[in-house]
Amino acid sequence: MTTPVISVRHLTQTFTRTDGGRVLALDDVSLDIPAGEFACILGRSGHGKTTLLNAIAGLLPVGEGDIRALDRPVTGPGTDRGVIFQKDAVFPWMRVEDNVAFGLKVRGIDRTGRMRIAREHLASVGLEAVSRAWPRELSGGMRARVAIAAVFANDPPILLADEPFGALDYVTRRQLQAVLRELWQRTGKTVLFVTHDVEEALLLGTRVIVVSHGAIAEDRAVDLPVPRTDDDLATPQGLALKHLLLHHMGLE
Amino acid sequence: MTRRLQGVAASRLSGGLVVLLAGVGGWEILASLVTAKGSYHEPLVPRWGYLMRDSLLRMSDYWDGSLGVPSPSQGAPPTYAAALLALGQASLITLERMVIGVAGGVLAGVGLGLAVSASRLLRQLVAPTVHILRMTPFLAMIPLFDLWFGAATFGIILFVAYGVAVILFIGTINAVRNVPPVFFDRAATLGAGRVTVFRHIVLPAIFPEIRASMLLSFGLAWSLVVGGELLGAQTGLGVIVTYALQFAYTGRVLIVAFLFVLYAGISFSLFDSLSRRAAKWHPFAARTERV
Amino acid sequence: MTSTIRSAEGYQRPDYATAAAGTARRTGGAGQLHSFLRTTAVSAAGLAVFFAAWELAALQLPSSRLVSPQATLADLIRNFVFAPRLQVFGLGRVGYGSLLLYTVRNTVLGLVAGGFVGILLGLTSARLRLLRIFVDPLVLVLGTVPVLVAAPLFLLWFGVVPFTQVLLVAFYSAVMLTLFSQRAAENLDPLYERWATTFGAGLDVRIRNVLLPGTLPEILGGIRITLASAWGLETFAEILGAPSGIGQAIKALTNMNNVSGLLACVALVAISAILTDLLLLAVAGRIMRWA
Repeated sequence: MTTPVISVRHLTQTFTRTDGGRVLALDDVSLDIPAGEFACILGRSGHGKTTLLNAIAGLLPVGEGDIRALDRPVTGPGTDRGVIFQKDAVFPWMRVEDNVAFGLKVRGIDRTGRMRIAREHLASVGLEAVSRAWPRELSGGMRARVAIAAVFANDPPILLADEPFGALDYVTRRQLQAVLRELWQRTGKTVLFVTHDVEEALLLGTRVIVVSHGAIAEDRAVDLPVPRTDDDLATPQGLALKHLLLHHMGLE
Repeated sequence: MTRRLQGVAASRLSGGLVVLLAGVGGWEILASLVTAKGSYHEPLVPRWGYLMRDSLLRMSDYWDGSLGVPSPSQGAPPTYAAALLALGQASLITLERMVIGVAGGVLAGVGLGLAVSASRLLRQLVAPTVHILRMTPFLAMIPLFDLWFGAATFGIILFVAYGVAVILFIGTINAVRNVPPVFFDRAATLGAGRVTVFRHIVLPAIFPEIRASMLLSFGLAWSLVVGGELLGAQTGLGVIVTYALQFAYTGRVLIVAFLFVLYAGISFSLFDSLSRRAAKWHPFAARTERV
Repeated sequence: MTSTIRSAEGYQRPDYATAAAGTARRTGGAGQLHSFLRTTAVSAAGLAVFFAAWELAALQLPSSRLVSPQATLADLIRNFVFAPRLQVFGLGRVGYGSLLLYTVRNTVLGLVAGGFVGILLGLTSARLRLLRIFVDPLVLVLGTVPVLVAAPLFLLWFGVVPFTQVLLVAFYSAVMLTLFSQRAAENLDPLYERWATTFGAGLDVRIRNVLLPGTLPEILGGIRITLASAWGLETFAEILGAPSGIGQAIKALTNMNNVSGLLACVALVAISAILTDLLLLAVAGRIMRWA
C-alpha cells in the first residue's frame, strides 16, 4: 500500500478566544488521503472543517496530533500545499499576471519564464484577455479564477481549497466548479475541498468527509462517474448519498 | 470625463466662484463699515485697496536691501520690488523648514513604525509612550522645543519633524495591523520569506493608508511651522506677523495669512495628484481624497 | 510526535492562537480575567517604559534642559493652588489649577459651540446638494489651512479677552466637525433612510432615528480628534495673549527659564487632554453599545 499523500493522526485543536475562553475545534481527528483524491470536507459553519484544512495547510500552531504531507511532517505552510483561500487573497497592488506569477518569482524563476507560465495558466481559466488588468477591475468570479490560476501555476502536488466559491452567485459557482474539476483531471493533483454545500460536494468529490462538532461523522467514497452531470446525481445511488449528507447537515 | 462628472465639477466650480466672490465682496463691505483703527492708525478691517497699496507695499520694510534693491531700512522709499523680495525670501525660509521637517518626520515616523511593527510585544510596550506623546498638544510644546533646540530654523525643523513623525508612526502601526492576514497566509503558502513579504506585501499594502496619513500630517505641519515661527523665530513669514502684531498692522497679518493659505493649498493638491498615480490600484482610489 | 509551527516569517502575522472560533460558546470567566490582567500588565509595563526613559534622559541632561518626573510632579503639586512665581506676571494670586480651569473652560466651550455648528452644517450639506456646493469650497480652503493664522488676527480684533481664544477653538471645531459629519453622512448607507421612508417615516423622524444615530460613531470619533487638537490651539492662543490660562503660565515660565514649571504645565495640559479623551471614549462606548 502506497503511503497516503496526506496523513492526519489524532489531531486535536483548541483555540483561545480573544476574551480568554477556550474552544475545542477538533477532537482526535484521524484521516488519510491517497494521491489523486478529490476529497470534499463537508460540514456546518463552526464545526471544524476550516480548522482541519488550515491545520493541514500549516497555518495553525498545531495542538496535539501528527500531520504529514508527502510523508514529511507539517511544520508550517509550504509550496507543496497550495491554498485557495475563502477570503479574496489576490493582491490588489499587483496586476493579474503578476499575481499569478508571484509564486514563481518567489522561487526564483526568471521574468520571461514566469510570465509565460502565468499567461498559460490564465488562458486555462479563460482570463488571457485581462492579464494586465488590476484586480479591482475584475468581478468576484474573475478574481476567483485568478486565484485558481495562481495556485495551479505553482504546480503544487496538493491543493487545499477553503470554500473558494462561497461568495459567488449560482451560475459563476457552477462555471468555476467545472474549471477546477477540469484542471484537477488534467493535472492529477490531490485536492482537499472544504464546503458547506452538499451539491457542490457531490458534484466535485471522489470522496466526502463530513465534519461535525469537531469530529468526522461520515467518510464515504463517491462512486459516481467523473466528470458527472446533475443526472448522475439523480440516480438512486446519488440520491441516497445526498440524503445521507443532508441528514448529517441537520436538514433531514 | 463623463457628462455626470462634468456636471459635478461645474457645480463645484461655480459654487467655489460664488463663495470666492461673496467672500471678497463681503470683506469689502465689512471693511467700509468697520472703520475702527488700531493703536498705530491702521484700520482693523482694511479694504482691498488698502491691502494692495499700503500693506503689500510696506512689506518692503522687511527687505534687507541686497540684490541691488534698496530697502526702507536703508532710507529708500518702499517699493513693490522690495516688498515681493521680502515676502519671497521669508517664504523660502518657511518653506524650507516645512519641507525638511515633513520629509524628516515621514522617514522617521514610517521607519520607526515599521520597525516596531515587527514585534507584537514591542508594539504593546511602546504604545503608552506614543499615546502620551500624541495626546500632549504639539502647540503647547513650542516653548519646550524653543528651550531645547532654539527658535531658529533647526529648532523649527525638529519641531515639525516631531509632530509629523508621531502622526506617521501611529498611522504606520495602524496600517500594518490593518493588512488583511490572508495576504500573509497566501505569501507563506507560496514560500515567501521575511524580506519578500516586507517588500511585496507590507509596503504596497500599507501605501494608501500612509499616503492618507501624510496628507493629514500636511495640515499639522503647516500649523507647527506657523506656530513655531509665531513664538520666537527671527526669520520667516511668521516673524512678519509677530512684528505686525506689535503695531496692529492688520493688513500685513492678512497678507501673510493669505500666503499661508495659498502655500498650504498648493502643497496639498500637489502631493495629492502626484501620489495618486501610485495608489491607482486601490479598490477605493476613485474616491477623492479629503482632509 | 507533535508538530510545531515555524516562527512566522510574515510581518505582524496574526496570532492564530487567539483566533476567534465562529459559534463557540463562552467558557467562563477565568480565561477572560487572565486576558484582562495580561493587557493591563503590558500597558503598565509600557507606562513604566515611558517614565524610565524620561528619568534616564533627565539624569543625562543638565537640569536647565530637563528635570525628572518626580521633580516635575513636585513642582506641579507645589504650585497647583498658588504659584508665587507667577504673581510677577500680572496674573494675580493664581496657581496652575485655576489657570488650567480657564483653559479647560475655553476649550470645552469652543468645541461645543463650534462642534454644534459644524455637525449641523456637515449633516445638512451632505443631504442637501444646493447647500453642499457652497459649503464644500469654503471648507476645502479652511480645512487645509492652518487655523493658526487666524490667531493673531483675532487677537488684533478682539483683544486680550477669553472670547478671542474661544472663537479660535470654535472656528477650528466648526470646520473639522463639518468635514467629519459630512463624511459620516456620506458613509451612512442611504439604504437605511430609504428603508425608513418605506415605513412612512417623515424627515424629522428619519433625522432623529436614522441619520443622527447612524452618523454618531464616526462623528464621535471626529470629536475626539478635534478635541485633541483643540487643547493645543487654546494653549497656543493663550501664549499669544490672554487674561489667564495655562498658556500664560507657560509663557511666564519660559521667560524665567524655569524648566520644572514648564514641564509641569505641559504635563497638566497633557493630562487634561488624556483624561477628557478617555471620558469621551467611555461615553461613546456607552452610547454606542450597538456599534
